[in-house]
Amino acid sequence: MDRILLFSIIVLLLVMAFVILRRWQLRRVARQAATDPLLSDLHPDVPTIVYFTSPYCAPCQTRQKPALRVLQDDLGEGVQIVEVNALEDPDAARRWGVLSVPTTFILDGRGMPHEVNYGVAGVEKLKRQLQKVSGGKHPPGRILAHGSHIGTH
Amino acid sequence: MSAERKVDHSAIRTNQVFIIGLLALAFVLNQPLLVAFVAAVMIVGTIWPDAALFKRIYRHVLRPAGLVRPDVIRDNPEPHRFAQGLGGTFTALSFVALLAGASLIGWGLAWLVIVLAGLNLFLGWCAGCTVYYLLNRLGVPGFDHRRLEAG
Repeated sequence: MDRILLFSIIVLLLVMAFVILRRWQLRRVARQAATDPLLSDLHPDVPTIVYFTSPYCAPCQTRQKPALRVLQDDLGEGVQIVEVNALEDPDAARRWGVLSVPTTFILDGRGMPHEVNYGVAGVEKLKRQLQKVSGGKHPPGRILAHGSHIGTH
Repeated sequence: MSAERKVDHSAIRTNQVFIIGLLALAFVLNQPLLVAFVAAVMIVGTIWPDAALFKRIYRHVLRPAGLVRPDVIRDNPEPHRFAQGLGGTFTALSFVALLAGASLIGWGLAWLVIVLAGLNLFLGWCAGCTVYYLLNRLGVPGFDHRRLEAG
């Protein structure tokens, strides 16, 4: 019984450490988002995905990139995607605190980060996150209309 | 040559699920023998990849039953094998420490393996592979495979 409790406490501490680290990273990005060169050419009021990748990242090419392509096809101008090669632009990776690829950040229409995904994030997850940052109003019709279609793939 | 290099990442993830699950169970039950079992499976699987028990369960049970779908991608198998060997070594050291009565060190090492396997499973970051590629860049003999450009 004691060990089950100890196990639960350790798992809880690990989860808490992960959540704190994630929040710290988002706050850090938020602090410098207004002046970050990666975000200088963005259209205002359109949610953004900042996608860190590298030429050596197999899951990026086989899973993350196709997922983003489907998302872009579905949402059209309802989302803008900024792809960053972390090897070509290590400064950007450092500024954004990226330690592994693929990593995707979900930004609202003002360029403020709300979510970060470590590892591959699927189409449905990205759609949910985009819907959340746009307060469920920026292209919700398109998201819902295409959600069931994509779910059948 | 590199075009033929493929790794089924579902097999690797299944392996990690077993490692995490069994080491967590070993901790809860305070059962060092289970730690020894996991260490043995990992080390044997590193030396003879075809004998890797958890991957065999994936190949012969989970995949044919449709419970886990294959995820074969262009990748080097060697860094993953090295990572497993590293994990197996830590797990074996954990068992030795537990046997010697140093339970804090022993379970600490087991938790280290759990956390590193968890990072790979949930976040896709393979610590052992990172070490392998670092040693490759340093020109250490035996670490001959560079990162593959994804196709």
